Amino acid sequence: MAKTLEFKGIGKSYPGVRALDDINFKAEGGKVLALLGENGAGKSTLLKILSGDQQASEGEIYLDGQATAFHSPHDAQNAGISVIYQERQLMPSLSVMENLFAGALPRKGFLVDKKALFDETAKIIREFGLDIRPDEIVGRLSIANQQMVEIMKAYRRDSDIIAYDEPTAPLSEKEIELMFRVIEKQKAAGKAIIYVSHRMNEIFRITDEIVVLKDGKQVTTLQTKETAEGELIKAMVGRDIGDTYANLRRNTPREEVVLEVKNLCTPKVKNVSFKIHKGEIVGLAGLVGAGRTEVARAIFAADPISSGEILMEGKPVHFHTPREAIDAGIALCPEDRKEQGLVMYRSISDNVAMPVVSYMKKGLGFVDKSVATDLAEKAVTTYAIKTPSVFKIVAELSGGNQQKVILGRWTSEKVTTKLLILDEPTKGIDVGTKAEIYQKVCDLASQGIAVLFISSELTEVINLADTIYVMRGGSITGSMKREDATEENVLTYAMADFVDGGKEGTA
Amino acid sequence: MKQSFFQKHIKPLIQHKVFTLVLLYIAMVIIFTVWAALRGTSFLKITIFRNILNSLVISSFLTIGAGCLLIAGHMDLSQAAIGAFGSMVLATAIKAWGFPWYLAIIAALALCAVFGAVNAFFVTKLKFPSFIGTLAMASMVKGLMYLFSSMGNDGVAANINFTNKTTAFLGTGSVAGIPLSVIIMVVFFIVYGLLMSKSAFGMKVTLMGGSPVAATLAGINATAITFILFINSAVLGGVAGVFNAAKLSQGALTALTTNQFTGITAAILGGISFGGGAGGMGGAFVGLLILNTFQVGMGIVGVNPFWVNVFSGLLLLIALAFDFLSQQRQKRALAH
Amino acid sequence: MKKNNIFSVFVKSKSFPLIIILLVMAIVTMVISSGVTAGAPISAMFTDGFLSKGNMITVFGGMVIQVVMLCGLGCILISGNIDLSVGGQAALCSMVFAWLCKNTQMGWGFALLLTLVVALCLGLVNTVLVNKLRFPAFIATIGMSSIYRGLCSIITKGNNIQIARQSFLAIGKTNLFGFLPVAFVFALVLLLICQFMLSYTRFGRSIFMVGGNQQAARLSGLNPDRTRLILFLLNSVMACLGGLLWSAQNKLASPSSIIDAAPDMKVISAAILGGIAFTGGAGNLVGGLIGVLLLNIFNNMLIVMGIQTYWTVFASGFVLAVALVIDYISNERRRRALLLASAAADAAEAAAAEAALNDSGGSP
Repeated sequence: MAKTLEFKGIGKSYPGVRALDDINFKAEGGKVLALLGENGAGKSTLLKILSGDQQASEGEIYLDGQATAFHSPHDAQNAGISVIYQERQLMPSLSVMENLFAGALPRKGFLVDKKALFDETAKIIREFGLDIRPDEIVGRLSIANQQMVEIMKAYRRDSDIIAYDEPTAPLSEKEIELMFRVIEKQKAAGKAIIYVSHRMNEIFRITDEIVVLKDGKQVTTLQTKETAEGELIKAMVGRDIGDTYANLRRNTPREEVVLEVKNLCTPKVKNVSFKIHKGEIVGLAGLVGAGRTEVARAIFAADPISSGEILMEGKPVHFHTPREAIDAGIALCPEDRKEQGLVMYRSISDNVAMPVVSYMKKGLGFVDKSVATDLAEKAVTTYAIKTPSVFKIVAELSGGNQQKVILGRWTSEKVTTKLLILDEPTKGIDVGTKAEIYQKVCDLASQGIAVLFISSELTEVINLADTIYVMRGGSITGSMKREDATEENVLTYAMADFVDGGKEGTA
Repeated sequence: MKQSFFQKHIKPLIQHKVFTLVLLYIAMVIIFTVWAALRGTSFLKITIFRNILNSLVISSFLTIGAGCLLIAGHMDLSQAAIGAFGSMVLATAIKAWGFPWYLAIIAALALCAVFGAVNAFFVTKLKFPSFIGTLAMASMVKGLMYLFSSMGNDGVAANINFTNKTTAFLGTGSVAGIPLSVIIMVVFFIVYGLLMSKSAFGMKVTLMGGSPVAATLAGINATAITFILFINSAVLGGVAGVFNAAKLSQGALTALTTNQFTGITAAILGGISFGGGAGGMGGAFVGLLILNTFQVGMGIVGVNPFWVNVFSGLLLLIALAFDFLSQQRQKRALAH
Repeated sequence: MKKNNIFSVFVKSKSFPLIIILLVMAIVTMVISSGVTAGAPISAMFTDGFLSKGNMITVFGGMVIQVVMLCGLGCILISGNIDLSVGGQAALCSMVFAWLCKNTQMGWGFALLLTLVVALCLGLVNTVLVNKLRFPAFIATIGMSSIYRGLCSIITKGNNIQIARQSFLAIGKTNLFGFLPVAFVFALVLLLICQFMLSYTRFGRSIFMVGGNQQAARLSGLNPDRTRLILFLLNSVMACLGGLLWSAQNKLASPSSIIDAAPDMKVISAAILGGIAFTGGAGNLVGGLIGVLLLNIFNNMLIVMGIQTYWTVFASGFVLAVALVIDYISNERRRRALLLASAAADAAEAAAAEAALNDSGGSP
């Protein structure tokens, strides 16, 4: 039964902020509508209104022509709407089946019908083509599988209108394929699908219509078949970036080796060896779970090393704590910005000064807060962090600005960084800010800093790095210079378990 | 970003919730004064306030230790037990081992430090949740304390009386009319207040409390800091125990049992009042002051002093209300 | 499909190794305390000392209030909350009941009903604090416990209130088979009912969901506030019943005794011993029951063997610490097993992929 969802004149205001203004679109059954926009453009707010988590300040929502209002997620779900959020909303200590059927456990009398629960769940898992047991505890699944459980939740509800919010971020190519297959099925079944993503290749692959948002306003609505990436980016940022990568000011890497890793082994890393030269950007590519973060953490001494050698500027080093690594000139921007990179409810100033608190002393061991303020202000200028003051709490910044704070921390005057490790630094960040970060990374390389750039986005790795190493299952499976790198051969090294053969998911 | 003198110094002072607590205190004093007058007694006397300050001393050390830990997100429920053990050691050292007063104090505090280190070990290496881990520790320390006290006493645990002029002076003596213990207490508050708000250490503790993982990855040695904080809490417990013993000239098995609750409540009040930093210590001090003044005041106007329990509970809830209202405002602003 | 009945839940609980230790110690205690080593007949092991009727009554009787409180507090913990005021609530309720019995002519059944109403009000207070005012339960209930303590002291002026209603006291006096207090059986039944609810009903499962991830539960259509309301009411009723059973056993209401015995701390320790996570979302009441049994029986064993009191004080903390260490070790093992398992899975994948590559004759 095809249903249409229409947003007419939707607006949303928070105290002091106009988050959405006059949004109009129509999502029809059997079609996929894309929502595209920078961070802060209003996509999340729109989805929250759709899911019933928030209510619109103005405007109307129509379901099949009938005006409706959702006062709670319960309402929206009953009306046939499901939203799959970016942050997985799962209960880690419960089983897959209980997560799938939370709030709607099958009943036998007034007890839970455990057999039905198991069977129904098994059926859904089979349709998805996954290898998970229904009674498996969710907390023990891989991140990619947990995301799939999240997607299966919405599928279970068999909603008529389904919204996906950046669903592919934690997924590997294999799971992305499975997910696309499910979306195709849902399309064929006449569901209306709303797809929020930053990934152009995905948008061009499965969507039919694109709504571009900017600063809470609707810039344009385009038919996917009739548009191209350049036009979309222009609409999103209001300026022609041109080719993001071609315009980067680069430098040539120098002769001296800053970091050498020899036969590094940890529980998840198997005999990894590579070198990074001064001023070189080394890309570490691969699928989610390939062991790249583990390599970074081992170098940074965040995790212990089972065997192998690490040499900084030719000399062997044995770090036991991150502090030792930092003092030797290594810096890490962790993958999970919010949980591991920042102290969320402290100011920009505090976060920038974190590694050098001990060096800000004056007099009797007191800390000179003005030093921190100074460092922070310089970071704000250098990285163009959008904030009225350095005392603003980082939780209030957008993802891109948060990442810039972390970069500012490691490149401040008081820190001598020789090796900068970036783990998925542009995850969840809009195109405009991404370009800024790319340029900054290149600038840092020009200053002689060696950069280890870990990313799952092929385009990014290929175009930014001077040398690329590809990992799979904890080992390095291939390496190449920038000139020889194509998305194809990187992907090949990254996922030789893709037995179908054939290229998927590349722009 | 230059700010005027008013903006930089006076305005934050007023916005401190400590300010509210101080106002509350003044209001309470006024109420008691009037009430007492109506009943024919007086409240606003130097001796009374001296009593109040005196009553604060023991709990104050517990509060300081608890407050520092709270900032880092931990609790120490074994403080009182450790402190009591410390008081026993002091008494025994002076009486049975013939230690001079300073060695006795060092011995007592050293033992407390060891217990503190064990707590830290449990929490950092064995990943015990601090609430439960220190609860277990409290029982173990208490048991060991009984054992210790019974060793010199034919297997029967009992309080130990001793005499020592210096400790007696420490506990009950005055300097220029002010009790020595009160002076020491104030010094401790000031030192710790400065330490937690202005020193590098204090800043690291605050950052660690916000996110232990991020702090570690930014090079802050969370393990070392946790050790310091737990040892600190235990040693401060020992200081409280020492003062208790000094005042009574007795190492008592039940020392500090009533103070533990006041100590933690005041620390929470202080922590709520400012979420760490100088306001934390200041707020804790004022909180303690309020609680004890209330108890004394009630005694003077002839009301059942058990009302102080009700009052302290209510005070906690009210402080929570204030703190949460303002946090709500902050969080709502973050909600998009 | 894995069985999730009470028995398998028992075996899988984290305190299983402790039970083994407990059983071993029990046998040692039985032997020593009954004087078998001093020449008494073997049969004395089962009738004297540790297993004597008098001792069993003491042990099981002492556990009653804890088991009853566990029913409520355990569920609260699983839902990701905490309530440190249950001791105070039990004290207050027992005081109300005793007062009604002493100063009015009403039947004690009626007094019971009124007391339950009071308990429900206390539960409502908690709900308002946590749901409406969004206070952190930890601090709010510490505050309330202080208030209850004060109220009890003020009203009773430190005295106890005797209860003289014989039929009520019978509950506390009667012992089945001569050694099993009826009150304990009652508490046990209550616990089993609550455990059944937790494992097999939708509401029970929703408690886990709210505790596991409140936001996710809300987005799945559950109502965490409503769950909390019901649980706080349940908790207060349980606290009330616990206090009343205690009063029946001791023939009086003694708020100060109840509060000083810190049943809340003991129950929480037992719950954690039994595998109920401090953060919520996991565990079960049976595990908590095992924790209660462990703590109390272990304590009793030391007393019966004539070991000095201070060792029992030490031991209660020690057992808890041992339980936490076992917890740590099992977590470490599981963590390493997971690492190895996923490394193995990766290796298997790699091998399969190699094979596939070789089959298809080179790269695609």
